[in-house]
Amino acid sequence: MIDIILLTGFLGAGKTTFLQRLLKAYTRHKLGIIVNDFGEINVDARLIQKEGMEMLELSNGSIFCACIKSKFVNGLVEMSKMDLDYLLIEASGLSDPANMEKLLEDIQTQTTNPLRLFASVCIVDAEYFLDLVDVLPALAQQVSYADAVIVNKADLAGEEALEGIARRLDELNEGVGVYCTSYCRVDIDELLSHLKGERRASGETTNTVASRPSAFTLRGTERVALQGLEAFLREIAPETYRIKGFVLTDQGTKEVSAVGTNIQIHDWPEDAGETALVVISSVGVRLVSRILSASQTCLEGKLKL
Amino acid sequence: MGRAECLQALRREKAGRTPWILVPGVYAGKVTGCGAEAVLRDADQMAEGFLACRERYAPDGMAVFFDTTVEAECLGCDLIWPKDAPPRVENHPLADTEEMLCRCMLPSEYDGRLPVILPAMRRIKEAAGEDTALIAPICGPFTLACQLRGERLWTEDLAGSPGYLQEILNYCAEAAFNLLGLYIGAGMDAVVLADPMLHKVPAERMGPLLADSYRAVFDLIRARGALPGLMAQDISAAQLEALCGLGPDWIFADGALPGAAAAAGKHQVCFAAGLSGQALLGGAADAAAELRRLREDLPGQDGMLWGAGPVPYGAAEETVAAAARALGEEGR
Repeated sequence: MIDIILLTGFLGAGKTTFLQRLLKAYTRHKLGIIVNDFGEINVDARLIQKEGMEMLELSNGSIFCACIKSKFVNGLVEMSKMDLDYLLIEASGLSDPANMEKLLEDIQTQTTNPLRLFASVCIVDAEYFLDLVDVLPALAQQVSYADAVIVNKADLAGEEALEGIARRLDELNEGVGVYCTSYCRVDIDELLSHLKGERRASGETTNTVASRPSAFTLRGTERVALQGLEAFLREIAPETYRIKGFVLTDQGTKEVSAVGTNIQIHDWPEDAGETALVVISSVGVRLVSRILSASQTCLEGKLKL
Repeated sequence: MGRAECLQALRREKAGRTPWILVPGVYAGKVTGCGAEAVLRDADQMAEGFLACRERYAPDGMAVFFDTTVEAECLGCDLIWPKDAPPRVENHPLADTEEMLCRCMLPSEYDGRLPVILPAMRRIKEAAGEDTALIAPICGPFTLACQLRGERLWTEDLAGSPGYLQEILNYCAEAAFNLLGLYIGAGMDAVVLADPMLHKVPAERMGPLLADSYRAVFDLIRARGALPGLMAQDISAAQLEALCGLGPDWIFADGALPGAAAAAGKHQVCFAAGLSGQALLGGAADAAAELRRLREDLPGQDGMLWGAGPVPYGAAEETVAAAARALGEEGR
């Protein structure tokens, strides 16, 4: 039996951070990982790459959508052949996991070691959850099908917002364990030993037809000025849900992670080789014009769509 | 043939003369004898049709093919193939739904007839790219939305659900993003959004409805190093002005449009005045009469071109030849 821990949560909520914590906590276990990223480049997979782990990257859509579901199924079947204790699955930010258990039932005859959904952990971004939960159906579904919910980035939300989030979570999934924190600092053993006993019955995923937002990838091989990069990100961030990736700058390679207008730029110790920045639009294709103009103004056109 | 002059004019630079562009369409299949269908379904026939028309009529710029169903076919529309006209869509994948097609269906180089079109473009680029400006048509987002949605676009969306229509237009613009990258990669100098349904949109609604999607496509074409254009038919002067506001570098419109060049000039857009398919079908006298009307409205000048097409399959060879001669003469 291989136990699956499924991580859901909106773009930038902290799934990869939590996954990194899980990896640290479970060093003595044999782990397999499936990382599903929304853009055409799997940034999250690079962030957690480690030797000695079985890892599968699934990019450019949701693992529950018809687009790449077959690849996901093949991945699960392949992972079931391995000698693993846990299979950790990081779903993309707009994944709707409603059909996860049904999917596991359907592949029972193909798996070598049986796969069981042990826990579905949803990470909620305290800063943006209330603004988005009624706009993006997948977010409510992620909470509804969770066995535990981490309300992350609590330090960025006020008391009133946290109370509002607690009420909304209770409406969506009454009785689910809620852990309020920042940087996903939770006691993992405690969280996984207090999962909600009864899970909502499998249903239809809203990912079957994609009404997913437009995603664009900026690339470049020339280094850009760090100051220009900051200006560029400030310019486009208000029209995005998420920006993430690696950028070659005059001050070394930087890891960029932005959720809405909350922009973070960190040093990245490795040479990324080339710039690859995934941008997920909140305004449809209109963002293209904004990106092109801001790239010209702030980055001398060195990053291209 | 003057590729350089054509590109200068499309960029609204001083070209020294008024170049002309030809959109031979399925008529290219008549010239080579392969027919209307084969010229759009066979890479060799497409390239040979183009090269034969180029040799015969010697325009400064040419559309490599003309067919507004390429994208629709990739996105699930079945096509009807008449013997003497370009194909048209038979069904509408979004007719009975309020949802959107999945982005995994957005066209790639392996879909639909792109495995025919891309090799033809590369061959044409090699054979003619030095001295003829090469223009690639992409179905405009609005016309593609009409094909995907069908009648409900008119009866429901335009009036009641502009939000859903915007979503469709957004999706169609993303289809255009994919194609423009492939076409420019195959050596095209200019990419034109061919949008025969645009004339049905009132001028005052064009900006609010179309600006986001069209501007994004034009900006991306420009950023990739090609000249973005828009091709409309049967539009009014007010519609032309509204379309200029969407941000193309050039607009090709057919028929007489008083004041068109001035209106386009106000927006820094090059205007290509085209002899209509109807005039070409009518015979040499009709074509000459339309050309006279065009000349009365539009003295040849910098920042404009002459054009012809898409040429109907049924047009007589002598009419097309006479029109080509007259347009070439106009430019000298």
